[in-house]
Amino acid sequence: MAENFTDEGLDRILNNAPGGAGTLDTTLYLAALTTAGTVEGTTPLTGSLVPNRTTVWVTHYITRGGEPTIGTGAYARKAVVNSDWGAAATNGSGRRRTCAQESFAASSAAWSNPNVIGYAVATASTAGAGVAYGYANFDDASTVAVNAAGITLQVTPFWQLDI
Amino acid sequence: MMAPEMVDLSENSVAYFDKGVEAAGFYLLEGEPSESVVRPTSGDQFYDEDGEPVVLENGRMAVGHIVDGEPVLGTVSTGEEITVKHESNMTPGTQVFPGVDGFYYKDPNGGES
Repeated sequence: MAENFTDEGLDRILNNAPGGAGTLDTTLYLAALTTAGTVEGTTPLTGSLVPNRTTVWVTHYITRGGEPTIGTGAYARKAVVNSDWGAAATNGSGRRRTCAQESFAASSAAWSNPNVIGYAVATASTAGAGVAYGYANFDDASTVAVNAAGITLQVTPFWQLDI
Repeated sequence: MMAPEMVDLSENSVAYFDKGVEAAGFYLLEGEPSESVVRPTSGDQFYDEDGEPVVLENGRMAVGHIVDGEPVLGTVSTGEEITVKHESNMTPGTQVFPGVDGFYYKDPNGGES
């Protein structure tokens, strides 16, 4: 049986994603993932690898993600408020809600794990708590080195559902 | 001269806000974390804190940081509902300031406090 979604249907689903009216999570937090993390405990994270699927942001996934230590080099998770998420618009074969560009605080020194290959969208500012909506590499598979003071990491998350 | 008081990150949550606050910066989160019931579904291999594989039996998986417990590595059955806490309903409160090794209640560089 074939199945298909309409744009209007996708929009209604997307409006229940974070950023929509009445959603569970009014503020989300971005976490940096670095090359200090691993997949399956052994394979280093790269521009094309991020931690595996999980529903819960589990303690050992923090380690696997190689997140910089919160509080060193002025690293903290970046709050993403509800109003940052834009309206749905057609993108490729689906509908996408793009977030405003998010800027982590400028580093005050090198982050403890400086080579950032992606980020996570989580429900807690604290390492080891909450739910991870997901992990992402940067679209251009790049690595951003936050290895000195005065570097600002910027990311632009989005939600997309395809028909 | 007293040493500036540091934020105890084991007791407090700090996040960086640049919207919804008077000044962009780091803020303690106020309010109580909310709780959600989730149902782990992953069949992935898990590892303990020493990098040793966790033996999975009968579809059981490892999880950590369950509400009402320390951040521990335990196991629950796949599909078993567990409760996790999150801070997505909390709001920015007191502003804090970054130092070399953590956050301080007063700006260690001598700015506003």
